Amino acid sequence: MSTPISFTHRFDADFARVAALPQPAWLSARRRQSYARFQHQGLPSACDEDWKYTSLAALERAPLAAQEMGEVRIPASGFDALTPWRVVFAAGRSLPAPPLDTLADVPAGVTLMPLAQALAESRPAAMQYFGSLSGEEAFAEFNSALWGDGLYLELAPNVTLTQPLYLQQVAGAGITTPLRHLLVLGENSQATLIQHSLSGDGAAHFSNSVNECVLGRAARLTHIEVQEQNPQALLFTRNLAQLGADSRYAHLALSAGGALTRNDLTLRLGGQGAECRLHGLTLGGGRSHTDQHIFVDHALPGGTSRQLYKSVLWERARCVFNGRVRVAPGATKTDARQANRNLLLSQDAEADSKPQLEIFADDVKCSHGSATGGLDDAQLFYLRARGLDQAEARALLVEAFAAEVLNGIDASLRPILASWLHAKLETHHAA
Amino acid sequence: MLYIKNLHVAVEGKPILHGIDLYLRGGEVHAIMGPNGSGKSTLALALAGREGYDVTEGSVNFMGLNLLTMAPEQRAREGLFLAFQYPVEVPGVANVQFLKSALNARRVHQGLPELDAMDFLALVKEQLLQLGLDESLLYRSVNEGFSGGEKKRNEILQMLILAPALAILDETDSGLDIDALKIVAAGVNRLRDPQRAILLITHYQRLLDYIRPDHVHVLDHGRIVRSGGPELAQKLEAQGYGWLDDDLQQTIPGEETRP
Repeated sequence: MSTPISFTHRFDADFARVAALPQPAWLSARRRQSYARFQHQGLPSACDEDWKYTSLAALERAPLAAQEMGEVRIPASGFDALTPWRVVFAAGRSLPAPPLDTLADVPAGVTLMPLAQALAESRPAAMQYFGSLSGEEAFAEFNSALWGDGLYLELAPNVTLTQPLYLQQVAGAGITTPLRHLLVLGENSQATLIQHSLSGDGAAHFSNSVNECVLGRAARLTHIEVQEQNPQALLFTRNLAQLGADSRYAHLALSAGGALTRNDLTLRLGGQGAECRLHGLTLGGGRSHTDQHIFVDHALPGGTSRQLYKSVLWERARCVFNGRVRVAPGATKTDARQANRNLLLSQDAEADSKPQLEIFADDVKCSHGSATGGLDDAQLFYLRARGLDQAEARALLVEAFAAEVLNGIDASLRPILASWLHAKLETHHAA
Repeated sequence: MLYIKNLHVAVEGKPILHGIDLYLRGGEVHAIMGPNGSGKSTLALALAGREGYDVTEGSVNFMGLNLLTMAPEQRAREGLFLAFQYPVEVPGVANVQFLKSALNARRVHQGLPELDAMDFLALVKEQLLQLGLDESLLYRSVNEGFSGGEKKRNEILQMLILAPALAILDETDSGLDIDALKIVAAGVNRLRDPQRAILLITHYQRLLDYIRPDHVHVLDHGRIVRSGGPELAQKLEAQGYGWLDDDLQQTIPGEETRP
């Protein structure tokens, strides 16, 4: 049996520290409440259906100490060149570069500030939506109790954030202060967020972040997550989004490495005609374990959802895909499709695929498909029969398989994502 | 050029070819005809080096090299080209990237510099035009969503760009309408050259109206049962493969009864 108490009690000192931060009384009360719930419920176990394939033993065993606010090395990033709007969180503490309040040329109607500040100033949208989506799951409560920093982005109606916002989250050794971000996109506004989580060095770390995104009518958000974790890293993320009528949400998750990564993406299509396109790619080697947990809730009619989740796994890596789609009573004309494809490059790699369709409405289109296998021998032979050597042919096929998740991403972002992917796979092929 | 001696091939342990002898000189076009299941494609795939096509006996000499010890990519780089009966779809790999990698693999092997993008495109576009193919084909994934005719013409495009020493065409004519067939045949004829040999594998005589072979061989039950000139193809066209049967009983004693 697991011993959740041991893990849940590791954070008393951290909690005391965040509880003592200057903040509104309601916020510290809410932290207390969440902390109590987190301690009460403990960590999920394998008996919990949502954690069936993912053991938290590694988390409980990990020799993690609370992070002192020491120096964290900020690695160079290929995404830097993409946008002037970059905010770095190192070990949970924001290191804006340049400082948040002076990011150059942010359009009028864009509010970008630390989340703590938005709440301290009682900004109406922040007050309305903070905590509205995060839920009561253990890691959500953990985050609600202990988050130390995060970003607040608010777009007024009809405002377009003309360049991507690049959020870099660098973890140092040990337990990194959880991050909490809140994005509120007004009617017909548009933004692109690139959220890059990475290990600052080779040390074991535990990182946790929660994003809440609220899209108003006809708003558009492109959210790209890039996760590059060292082989000892433990990463838990939760993305929660509420989609207004006719809004569009595109999410791309590129997850590479890590001892244990758990990504929960929960979307509520809460307005008629909302659309989401969710693409994910897991690259895993060694003994990495990645769990992509998706829940798309078609709450109202006329919604469209597309899921394409892929993994490329080698050595003893394992990837779990759990894609749940719910079509609520009355959510007619829903069009939901889901595909999960896993490419296993070794005998010991493993992919677990669990689609769940729960349909409570008539006149809907829903489909799902799942396939897991190795490289196609016929394709390999075809390429070799044209003179490509085996390694080259394999690399070409693996990259072609993986790159499909980039389809549909804005053309201005694709080259940098494609070269990120190429470099990641090259490291693997060279190994 | 190509010297096949007593070639026996088994697929998944099942013997398919029972001793093929074939000799192709530079400049020659040979046609191999035969009914379905006679082993035509097995011969083509074994020569190209497909895994699972096990040579159990015999030898193949290709331009002085022992073909059977070479990996498929080595065979290709030395100038052996197989136009596939069923060209393989490779989603996510652009046709242009594939063609360029293939050509440069061969050029590097020949000690030639790799072609840059400009020179390469110039070369490809000229061939596209001759084959009546649209340029957009270059930027689509290899064979993915291609019509049957486009796939076959794409094989010929690859063949013309790679300019092989030995081209093996495995039922390239099947599924082509007469116009496409003429275009494909013209492509093959452009490749005819004293330095090159071509092996046409076909079920029908139709292709041979446009590409005139020097020699015709009939393959049946894994053996070459007849060899002759172009007139042999015409006889097959007129009389079918049935007339061979009686002879076969005598030519191949001990052959198990066919289903």
